[in-house]
Amino acid sequence: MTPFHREAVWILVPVAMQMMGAETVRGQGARTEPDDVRVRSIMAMIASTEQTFAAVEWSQTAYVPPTATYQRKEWVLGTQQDRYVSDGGTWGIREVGHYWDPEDKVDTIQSGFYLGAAGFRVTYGVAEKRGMLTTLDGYHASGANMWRAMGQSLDLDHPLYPQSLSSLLYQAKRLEYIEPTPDYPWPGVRAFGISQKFMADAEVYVDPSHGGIIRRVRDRRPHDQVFVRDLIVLDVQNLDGIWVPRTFGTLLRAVYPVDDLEHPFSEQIAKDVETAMTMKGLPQECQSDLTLRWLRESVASQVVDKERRHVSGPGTALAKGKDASLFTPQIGVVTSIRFLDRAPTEAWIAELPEDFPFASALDDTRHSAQETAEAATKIIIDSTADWLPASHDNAHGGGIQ
Amino acid sequence: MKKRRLVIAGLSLQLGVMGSARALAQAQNEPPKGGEVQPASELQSLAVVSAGPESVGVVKQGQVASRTILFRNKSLVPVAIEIVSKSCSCLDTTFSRPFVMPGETTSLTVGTAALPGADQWLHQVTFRCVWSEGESSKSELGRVFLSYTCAIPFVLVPEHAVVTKTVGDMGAVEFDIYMLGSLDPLPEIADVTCTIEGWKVRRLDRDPMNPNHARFRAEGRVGSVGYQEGTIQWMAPGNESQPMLKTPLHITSLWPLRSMPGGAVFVPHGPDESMTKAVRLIERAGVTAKAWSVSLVEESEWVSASLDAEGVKVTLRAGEKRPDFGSARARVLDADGKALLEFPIAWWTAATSPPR
Repeated sequence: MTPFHREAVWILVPVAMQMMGAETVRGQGARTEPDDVRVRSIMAMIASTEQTFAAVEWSQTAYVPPTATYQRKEWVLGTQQDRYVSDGGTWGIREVGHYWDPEDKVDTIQSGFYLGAAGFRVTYGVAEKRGMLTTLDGYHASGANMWRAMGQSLDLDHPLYPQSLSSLLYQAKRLEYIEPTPDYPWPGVRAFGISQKFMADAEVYVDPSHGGIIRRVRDRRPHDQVFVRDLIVLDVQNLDGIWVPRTFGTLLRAVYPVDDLEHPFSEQIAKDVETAMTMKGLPQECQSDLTLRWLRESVASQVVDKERRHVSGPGTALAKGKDASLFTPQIGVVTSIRFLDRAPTEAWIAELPEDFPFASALDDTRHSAQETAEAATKIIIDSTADWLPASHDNAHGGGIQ
Repeated sequence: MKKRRLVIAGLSLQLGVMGSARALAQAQNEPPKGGEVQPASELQSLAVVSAGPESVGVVKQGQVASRTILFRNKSLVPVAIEIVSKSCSCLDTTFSRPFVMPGETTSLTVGTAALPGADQWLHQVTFRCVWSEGESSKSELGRVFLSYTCAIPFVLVPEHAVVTKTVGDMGAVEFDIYMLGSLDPLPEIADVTCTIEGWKVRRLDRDPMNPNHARFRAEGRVGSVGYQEGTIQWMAPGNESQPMLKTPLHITSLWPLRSMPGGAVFVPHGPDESMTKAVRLIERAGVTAKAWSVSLVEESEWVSASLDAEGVKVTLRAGEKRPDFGSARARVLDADGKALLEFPIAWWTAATSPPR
């Protein structure tokens, strides 16, 4: 599998279902404020974080956990990414991913370059020196990334046009206050009865002492109330007076029925948990008590669920494949970040090599099957005409490098 | 290395892997809560009396692909049946009787509107049968499949119409429709409509050299801040009830200004502490919106906001009666009184030490 071919498959069924949806209007005004003033204050902090991170450019490295299945004896570097996302609808990802093949003992490094806007995505396979134009598929929000830990693009019912996290929470039947604990000293809200296909209940914690930044988001799936997603900011840093993530963790629980496995997979996962808990291989800034607590609670406690006869754990893959981004949980480090006044689309496009052949997967009359990178980027620019592309000069502040 | 047979669970898993939509539908079956899943023909409590074919073949886009399986309760006790999971919430799944007496029958109908996007769709439905044996309750899980291939004579590009604009602006999106058979002319189109009020759709060109292609443009004004979703529908002559083609239109309406930070969050040490925070205002690209005044959406005794050259200064006032926690919203207006931005304000008086 190559970045060129990679598709965000998880998005397809939700997208198909979106296509069948009825008319809806979701505005900011149509909501009822909860009675509990603490909940209202926390909801305001969640909304503040959302607005802060509406347009941001950052770089991150993400580490994948040890697992005997893939012969990883410690945490290893999975992906290095530069990303930008704007609430105007444009986004970009530059990615270097490591793909360890235990059977062939080959560690392949793949690079990808992705740009998207409106209804389109342009993918450039850097190694293959060719690109592909296709329809938007939500790829920009997928995988372990800092942006999602900030409450962005968590609406899997509408992955291409997600509602904000606060909008989802306001739809809940009940919002309750959660007290801070010694282990997780942040107040939070618990939302019961969110009427989503993929999200039933959610817990969101904020950190008032650090500008109200979102520190943790957990949500349960409707049919069995299992926590399937757990995003946490493990440490924060200050960017020109604004608190931003420094390290983060993302857990997407991959659940396997034990009976479907040919050997005691659960025993192997239990050993993997022990190895993961050593935190060996993780950068020093990630090796904190909080990281260990989170791994213990979120990963170790989910190894085997005897009642449901399911198994989960570190290093379990979300799908068959060698792509590092498929493994969960992941621990990430934000290596640079800046807030954007304008989407840096033009600057990103300028970095692409010229004479870059690309194929249109749209197979329509406007885009021939074989064109040039110039044609592909024109599509992005055209579709972002509402959002005048601008240079990095317009970015806010110097950023953290 | 032996290949494990893994059932990937949960539609919410974020994957990034090559695969067809068929593979996805197969992979995303949610596991039932317990027990081994049996093919419907091997259930202990129910016998299959008759069953429509698992693969229903080629179905036109939008038409229903379905099959029905008739079961008979072959046990000596009543059996209750419930749907446990299905591969897609787009599936309609109905048991004619959820509670079946011994010897009686119940039929399961599985159906869905045919969607393009895969060579072949494979869906599955898992159900649980529950009955009593003495004082204990027994159950088993059964599974049935439905597969189809969607036939579409033409293609619409883009598949998803997305418009993101600032509130009150004009928005537009263009579509191309073309026939899959290069020599096939487009079917006659009687009307094209958009369900969002004020939005119009028109045909842009008629190229005699390219009879299998047509381009349309939908345009209208973007409404209040938030998200709006409607449908664009292509109607065939003589069929006003069922569009020959339809696609969703997604509109996101944004404030002309952005705030940085997104809101003002105060952490006073007590009620006698007054604090001020600055919120910078950012004009979006292409927007010439000038902030003229700022006010609170709902009056607050404890919060005030004022405009200066840098943006908005938000002040949390001191006072013995100030609650430990609270929130407000500020609204920035232009000279005409039009709202350019709203942002949240929160305060939190707490002894919680900063977590690091």
